[in-house]
Amino acid sequence: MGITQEEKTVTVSPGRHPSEKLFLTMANAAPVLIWLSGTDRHFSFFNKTWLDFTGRTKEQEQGNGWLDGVHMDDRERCIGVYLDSFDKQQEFEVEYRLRRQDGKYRWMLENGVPYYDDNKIFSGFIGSCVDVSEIKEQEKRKDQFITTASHELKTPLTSLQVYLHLISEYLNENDDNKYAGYAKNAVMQAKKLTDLINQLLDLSRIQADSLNFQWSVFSFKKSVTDIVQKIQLTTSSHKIEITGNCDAMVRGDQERLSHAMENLLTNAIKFSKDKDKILVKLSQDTKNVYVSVIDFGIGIDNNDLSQIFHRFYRVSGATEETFPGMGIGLYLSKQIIERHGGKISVESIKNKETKFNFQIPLLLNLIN
Amino acid sequence: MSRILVVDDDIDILSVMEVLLSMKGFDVEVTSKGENTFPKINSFKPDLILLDVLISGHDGRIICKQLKTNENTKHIPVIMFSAHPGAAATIGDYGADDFIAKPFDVAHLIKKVNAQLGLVSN
Repeated sequence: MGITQEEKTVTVSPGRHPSEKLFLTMANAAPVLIWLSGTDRHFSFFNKTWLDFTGRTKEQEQGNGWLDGVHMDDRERCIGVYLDSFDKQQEFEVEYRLRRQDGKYRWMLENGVPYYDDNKIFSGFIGSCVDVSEIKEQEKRKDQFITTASHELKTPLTSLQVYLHLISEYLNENDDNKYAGYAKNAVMQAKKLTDLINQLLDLSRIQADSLNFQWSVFSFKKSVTDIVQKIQLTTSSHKIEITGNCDAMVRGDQERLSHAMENLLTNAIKFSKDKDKILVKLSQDTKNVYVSVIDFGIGIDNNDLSQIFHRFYRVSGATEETFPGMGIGLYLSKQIIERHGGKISVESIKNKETKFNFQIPLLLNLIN
Repeated sequence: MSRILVVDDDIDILSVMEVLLSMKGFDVEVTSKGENTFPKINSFKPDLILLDVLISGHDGRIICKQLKTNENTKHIPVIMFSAHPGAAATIGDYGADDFIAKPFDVAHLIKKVNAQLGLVSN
């Protein structure tokens, strides 16, 4: 069961509540930085951990004094999030750099929630911050490692692919069909490995917010048809049928959108092994182009539907465990589609049908 | 026979490119050192240069810019290549004629090479 907005809020009234002493003891003993603000939006309380961290006095921090310690580049964003949430009386989460007593800036993750008095009247906000600098640094190192490792993997893979291609060509020219087939399979496996490395790279770049897009204007239908034809060549078990129509142009990174589409199609094949048909439905209206990829395989359990686009999420279960994958394809697809201003969703009936729908804004719509 | 100069600091890549491009009917010279690019051009007179973006001790993009601003070399098509993520987005201002990401599909590479040389891919 989800938590309601009311349950998330806090009811404390420092200065008026009988357990004020208990609150102060708890707040000052907590390893996190805690603050309170009143209905005038000004900050009125900072726990000992906060004051020890910044090395400043309560008087220096009160009101808007605490903003002096926030990094100049983060100040506007930080106060913007706070004021916006304050007006809406909504909880918020924000990351910013705060100056420590030694003069060094540290990344803080701050959560703020509105609090109410005994009569449920809004009394201000209570916030807590933790130092996430080390975590951010580790994340950065991990992303850097993935980037470097992927680069190092790609170099020998380049040689491997070229040599395999040459062997395949030689065997074909000499009518050695059996070994030419083996060589062709080896080429395909090397390409698969390349795709996996590229997925890992894209993942680290999305995390670091440094994924570059090569924008162009292209026919959406042609792009979908091309990728369907490409995937059709890789399967003899399924017939991929395109239905519906759309003649619209879209603006996007054609290669990355094709990757997203390819991911949906290969998933559809992978999870409907005993079936022989995949449907791709196209349509458009005045705002978007729409595509649905439908398979008639094992389906997705209701419990998994909401998490299926999460990073590293893999469906677990007696049957699904036998399916390969790293759990990043759908996450990447979602990120790519959303960065085009689009949306992706999924509907599924267990052991009957799974339908992935996505939409991309029309070029005209973007211009207007 | 068209002449292609390949500049890459990875010896394995140079070996495979030499084999591949020779088999495809090109005359090939390779160098693993960025500073050898201009001497090689003077002696070999390539019709096309395949240039790695990141070469040890050198920035392939700077070499590309030098090639494209030099009266004697600016006419030579340059295809840059890299296994480094995001490299394609960084070569725009350096005058490269094309880019291909490593690992590349052989047919794709040959198509790009032929296109720059004004040849027809088979």
